[in-house]
Amino acid sequence: MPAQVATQRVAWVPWLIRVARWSDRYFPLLAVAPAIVILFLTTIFPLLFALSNSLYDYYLPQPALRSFVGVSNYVAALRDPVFLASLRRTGILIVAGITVQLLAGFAIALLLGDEEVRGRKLLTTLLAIPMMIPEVAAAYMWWLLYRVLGFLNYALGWVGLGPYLWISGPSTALTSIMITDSWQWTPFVALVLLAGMAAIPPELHEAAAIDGASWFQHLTLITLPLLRRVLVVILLIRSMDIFKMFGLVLVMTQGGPGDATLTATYYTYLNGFAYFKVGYGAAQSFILLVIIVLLSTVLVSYVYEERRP
Amino acid sequence: MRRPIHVLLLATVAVLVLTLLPSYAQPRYPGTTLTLSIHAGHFAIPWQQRAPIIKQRFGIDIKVVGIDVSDMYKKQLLELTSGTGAFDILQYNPAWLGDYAPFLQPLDELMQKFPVDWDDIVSGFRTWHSTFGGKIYGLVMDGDVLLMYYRKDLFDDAKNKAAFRQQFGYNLAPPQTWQQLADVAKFFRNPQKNFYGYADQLKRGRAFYWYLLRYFSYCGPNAQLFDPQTMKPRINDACAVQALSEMKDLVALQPPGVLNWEWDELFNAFMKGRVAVSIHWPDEGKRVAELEKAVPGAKMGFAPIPGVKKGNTVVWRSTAAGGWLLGVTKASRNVEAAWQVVRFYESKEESLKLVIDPNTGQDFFRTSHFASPQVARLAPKEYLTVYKQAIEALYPELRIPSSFEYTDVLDRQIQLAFTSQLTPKAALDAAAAEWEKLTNARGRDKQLAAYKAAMGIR
Repeated sequence: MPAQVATQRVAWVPWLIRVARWSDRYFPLLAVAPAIVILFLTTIFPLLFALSNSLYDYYLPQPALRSFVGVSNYVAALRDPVFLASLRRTGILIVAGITVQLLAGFAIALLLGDEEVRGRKLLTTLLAIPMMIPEVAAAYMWWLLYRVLGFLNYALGWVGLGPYLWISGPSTALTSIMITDSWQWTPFVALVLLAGMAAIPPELHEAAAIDGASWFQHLTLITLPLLRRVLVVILLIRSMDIFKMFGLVLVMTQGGPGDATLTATYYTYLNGFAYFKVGYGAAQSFILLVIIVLLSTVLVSYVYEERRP
Repeated sequence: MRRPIHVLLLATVAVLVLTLLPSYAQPRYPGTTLTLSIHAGHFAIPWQQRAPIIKQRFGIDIKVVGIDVSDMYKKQLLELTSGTGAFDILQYNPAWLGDYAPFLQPLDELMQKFPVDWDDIVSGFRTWHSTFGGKIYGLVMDGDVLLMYYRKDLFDDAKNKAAFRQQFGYNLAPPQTWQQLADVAKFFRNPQKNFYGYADQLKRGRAFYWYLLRYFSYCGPNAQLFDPQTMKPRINDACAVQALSEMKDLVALQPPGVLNWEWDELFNAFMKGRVAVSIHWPDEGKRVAELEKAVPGAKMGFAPIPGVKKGNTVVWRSTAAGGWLLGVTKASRNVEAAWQVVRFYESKEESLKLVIDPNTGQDFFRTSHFASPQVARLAPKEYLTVYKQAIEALYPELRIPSSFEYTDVLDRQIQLAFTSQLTPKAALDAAAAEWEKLTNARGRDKQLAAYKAAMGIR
């Protein structure tokens, strides 16, 4: 081998070492870069774009008249009585819906957790069916049931009751929407509670039984305290879902009668996609985002608080 | 023997030439594909059925995008404003013209070049649907207008006549005024038998149409939704409050759940004999036999929309409560081809086939439709007379930017009045305040100019 070539090869070595060191340092970053770019384009960028829109008076059909208004859209939203009323209505829906779903879900979970109940495996499978139905399909199904000439009133008519104004009455429409949501999601609550109950060590119940604890004491002193974290997770998931509820309102009532079922999400949708007030709609959606983030932060911190020894 | 063969040959050639001539005379656009945004279902299907004919006549392929009616405005406006050119032809509601006009191709020049029997279209539609600010932006494809239907057999019944006269002191007849309609509603109302005198279609998003019918007559003649000088809302004038108060009283007499009634509920209620009078689109009149089959002995009657007696005349207006136009988008790369397709679809001959087909949902809009023997066989003469009267008395849709929001706000407020959450005055004051806010946001001068253009005010 000529000496000159050997020297050249030796000269390559430090360069290769440098590349190897550089790649050691930056390869992980390069590897995740595509994911970061995609995440930025699909999540962060739209969020920033919406945030920037929320600072403009922007009516979509007249883009040339788009003008910067600072936080005026936020101030206007917080002063908008329809928006504030829609937030209150959404709050009612969350509290009432979750209460019903927790009570009914707990009863179902206790029933399915009882080993003496026959066919509980089949029942558990059947229970999951409403969850598998898309929200819009469930909404259409219940809309047909709720109509004044629908099946529910027809069936009630057999026993001399009704007709009830399920979704046509201002005082009943929100309850009817809550019933549909509960029909669809109580099984989820029941299944999560059932899983939580299955994780409770049986020795605790056995020991309590030896001490002569009643059914109620088993429930309040063992089952419920040990399900606290599961309950908080249910609360978190369901409250976020109900907060974002859209399909049921769109299909069944369009916010009516009057504004009896005008929820915060539906009102925001109206502003953004029906009235095309892009800036105002974006501001409302950020207010909703802040509320939902605060709510979940409180609940999540409760879960972590619980985990500390 | 040779001569007859020559004659036969010549005749065959002549027939062939005559047959082929029109197709050669027809401009052709081979390789062109047009995308149409059409109301899904009964409006989209006839387009799909005609796609081969359009291909044969013009060499144009059409792609029909069926959109659910509740999403049409949103989807179309998003496409139009983003300038994607995704749609060449749009089916749209005249009320959306205030927002759509800047994105639509004015058709006047194309109509000069390729005429369309414009004068055959009933004048109410030409003026109040197609024309905006002196330019033509669309061709009517569906002659929607509200008419009054009543059960002629019940109104002609001697016992009913006597009882009505005794109760109200005048003869039972198709109501000419809103007050008479309220009397009829009270008279026929029998909840035990699930029978009602009258019903509106009052679902959220629809109720305002039925309210505006009252508004136009209570605040007429020459009712205006806005002051044409200042653009101040007139929707809470004393006459408007009276209209809403009386309507609210009438809602209480209507079938339970009427605040959630859509088209099919009102249609079925009348066609299955559960209400004596209804105000609805022209569909029922083309399907008289269905009522007679469903309710033995039933007869359908037709009358103009009730009004308000002022002096010796009854002031009344009808409304399209929607209606549909076909327009060509400015962003289309094939404007002329698109116009040819619209022109063919809405031609005298083709549109007649469409309006007499009960599956299309399209109603009469040409003078020639009303004069057609085929239509005469399909629909009663009395119906056609009332129908034409209603078109002539048409009050235009609110065709200004943000019209959807203006009417939706009104709709929400009047429903709050119906459900007694607000008094009629408070509801209309709230609607007027929201309208005023909206007008300020869009720019008063611009809105005023659009309102004048829509109403034909110079």
